[in-house]
Amino acid sequence: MKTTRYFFAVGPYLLLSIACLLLPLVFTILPSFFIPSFSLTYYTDFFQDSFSRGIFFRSLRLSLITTLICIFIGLPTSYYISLRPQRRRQIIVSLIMFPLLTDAVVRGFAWISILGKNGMINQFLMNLGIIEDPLKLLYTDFAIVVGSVYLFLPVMISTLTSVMEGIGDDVVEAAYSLGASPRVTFFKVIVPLSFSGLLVAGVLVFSGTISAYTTPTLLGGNQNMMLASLLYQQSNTLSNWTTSAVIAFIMILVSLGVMKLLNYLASRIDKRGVDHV
Amino acid sequence: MSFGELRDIGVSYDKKNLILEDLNLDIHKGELLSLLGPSGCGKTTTLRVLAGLIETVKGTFTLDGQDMTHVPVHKRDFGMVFQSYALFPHLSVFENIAFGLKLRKVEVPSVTKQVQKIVDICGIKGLEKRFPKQLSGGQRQRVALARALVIEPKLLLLDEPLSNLDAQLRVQMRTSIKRIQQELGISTVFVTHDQEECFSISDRVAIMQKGKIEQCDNPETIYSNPACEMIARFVGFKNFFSLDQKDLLGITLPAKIQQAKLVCIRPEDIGFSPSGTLRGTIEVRTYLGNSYQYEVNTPAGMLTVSSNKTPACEVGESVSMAFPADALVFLER
Amino acid sequence: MYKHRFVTIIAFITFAFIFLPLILIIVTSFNSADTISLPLDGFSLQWFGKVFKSRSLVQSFKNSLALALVASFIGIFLGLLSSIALVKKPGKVSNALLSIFLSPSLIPGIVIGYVLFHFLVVKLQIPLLFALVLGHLLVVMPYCVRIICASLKDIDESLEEAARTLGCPPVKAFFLVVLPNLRPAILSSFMLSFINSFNNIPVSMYLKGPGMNTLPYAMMNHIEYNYDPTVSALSVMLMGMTLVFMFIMEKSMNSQSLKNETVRSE
Repeated sequence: MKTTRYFFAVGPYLLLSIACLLLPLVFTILPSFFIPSFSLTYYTDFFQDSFSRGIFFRSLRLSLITTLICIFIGLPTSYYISLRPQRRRQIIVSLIMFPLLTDAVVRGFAWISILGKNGMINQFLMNLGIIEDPLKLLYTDFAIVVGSVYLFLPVMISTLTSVMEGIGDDVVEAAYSLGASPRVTFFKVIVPLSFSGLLVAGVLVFSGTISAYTTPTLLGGNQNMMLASLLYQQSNTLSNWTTSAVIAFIMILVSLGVMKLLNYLASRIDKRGVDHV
Repeated sequence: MSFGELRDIGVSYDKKNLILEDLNLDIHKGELLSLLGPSGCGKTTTLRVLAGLIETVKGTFTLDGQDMTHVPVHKRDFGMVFQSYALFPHLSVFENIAFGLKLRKVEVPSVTKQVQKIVDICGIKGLEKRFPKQLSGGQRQRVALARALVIEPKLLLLDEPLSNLDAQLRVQMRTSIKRIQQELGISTVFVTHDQEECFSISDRVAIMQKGKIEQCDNPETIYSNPACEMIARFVGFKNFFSLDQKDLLGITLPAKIQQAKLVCIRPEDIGFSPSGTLRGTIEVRTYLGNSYQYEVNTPAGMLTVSSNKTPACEVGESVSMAFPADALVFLER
Repeated sequence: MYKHRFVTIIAFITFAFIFLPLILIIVTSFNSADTISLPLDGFSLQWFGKVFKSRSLVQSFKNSLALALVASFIGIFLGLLSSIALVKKPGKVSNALLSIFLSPSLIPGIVIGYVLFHFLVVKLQIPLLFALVLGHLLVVMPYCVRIICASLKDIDESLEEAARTLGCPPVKAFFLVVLPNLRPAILSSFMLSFINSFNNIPVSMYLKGPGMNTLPYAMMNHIEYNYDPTVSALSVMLMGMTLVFMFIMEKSMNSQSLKNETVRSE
């Protein structure tokens, strides 16, 4: 293929990437390092302010919790799915993927109706007489975590299922023949062999949660902001460009940083020595 | 002048290392010519040069007196069967075979007739409506062959067409290929790394190594008179000696041999006889069905000898061996 | 095979967790009560009617549909062009370009929305609608490039060569032999592009203009002020749309490549 034709073919997307991604990123974020000479003042300010620092650490904390919950629920569920016969496994995985393809607002709305003041849980508990006043479930960190787990669990399960499918019955049968119980097999064979997949999916869940806007906004409300909602508030409502740039850069740094770190770990730790995810 | 001629062909992928270097090859009309050699020797590259799928950096290719060197692939009118068969997955068997005819703007009734004819010849009648996915390996192979043959190519190129088939089917298919090739009298170049397959069906064989043709001759000549050690090993010589060892073996250099570096002999040509010229001890015995093969430790090194002498020799037995003069082959390299 | 009681229990709790909320929405959308509640009062389709009576929802649905279609069509076309170039000419340049084209899926959506808004709209004063289309093109770009590239690499190179030895000029060989075999990949990257663009909030939210609202954002606003099953009904219709898409994708391709895709419309 000739060079001119090559650049004609990749040209439009290259132009789009430069004009709508690279340049905007540089022009937006660069000023946050200069006042007017190079300085990290905006960044130190961000972390000295207890409000923004709180939001930063809440975002980290909730993303971490979400990731861990996804792992703990995802591992056994994926194992269960991977043990089904092939046809049924395909159906289950498609069904699991369905929420992932559904609008985030729809999913958030479902949890509002469940966790809300007049939501299903409160109605149910009050009808049974267990509580008298509705519990505050919505607009809490708890609601954000539930919503985020709901959002990203399918990612975890589909990644882990495809890794576990590749483990092969012979390895499991070998463990059984050596006298390992199902529980020991699960923890000593299946989990270690799925570890790299676990890291990869963990990255997706973590960086997904920390950069999500819709779900935390719908379920967390104004009192429990995460970085994305703070960015929107600072930029759109307050037109505070430098603070917005600081948040934007921090978000990129955190999600890319975690991704690089865990991908590196995944390649180091993978016991099978091959890239299979 | 031959029907097809490659002259001084040079091919390079990166403009530095030559894959083919000054390669010369003649193709005779109506013959089945094989390119044989280990993987990476340049045999597939040579085939792709013939097909026009690779640009040459130097040299010419003429066919039937016509310069083909710079004719683009789609104007060459050659049929090619690929190692992976390269059947179009979205087209039925009929459409696959008719593909080349339709591009040549052949009328529909004529397309049907020609496809029917070639389907009969290739033995795939009744499969026309199937898709490649629904065929077995041997059937795919026949469809690929039919697709290449239906355009009545000036030259048929086969790139390891049998390597994806199981052993039994391979023998069957190579006979079919030979039969069809003879029936249509079509000049064919066949690439393979399987020596037995190659010798069984070829009119001539070109043995390649490291981008060069080492020997190009009919199978019988190559079998009895290999040109170099590599080819000798390829065609079943197992015992090699340097000429300094000729006294040890008790052989004499024939007068007509001017210069030689090595002498070699096949395992089955060495005879056990009390009047033998070399003594040794048997270390390993393996049973081959109609004969035994022995590894014999001698002062001239470890020899491989096969013999159907009964009763068989025992391990540890001391034997003496004779080297018939007409079974010895002297090699210059 | 041993029975894993613990694993089975967790799996069923997970399935319940994943599907009950969606079932809840479906059930309440047909309930006649005007709040989202159980037990059910009676069967009614009034909420579906309400969706069509809401001008803002209907209008924003049309907007989102048009936007997603435009972005997906352009995205696929450009994705096809770039993928051919990237696959035909492998090397350092192509690898670098591929990672650039995939990068919008690694950067938080809200950041993309913000920098686009700040640079294109505030600084360069580009018309909002144009910026919105560019933004959505950026959103769909990774899906178009990744899936088509992968599928193009999978297609046996000798297919094209075979077509050429049979007398087909290079460009015609692409259309006759390569393109038909790319159909599943094109279809699935179209579906994923469409879903991602249609569901996108962070980019649309920044670049929406007066009279140019998108459906997800309109729904978010609607939820803030009205707590009735209208949104349930709308959600059911959207789920129906997703289901149809998934069905088409399952029919047309191996679901494997779909499984490996992560949807990040958040």
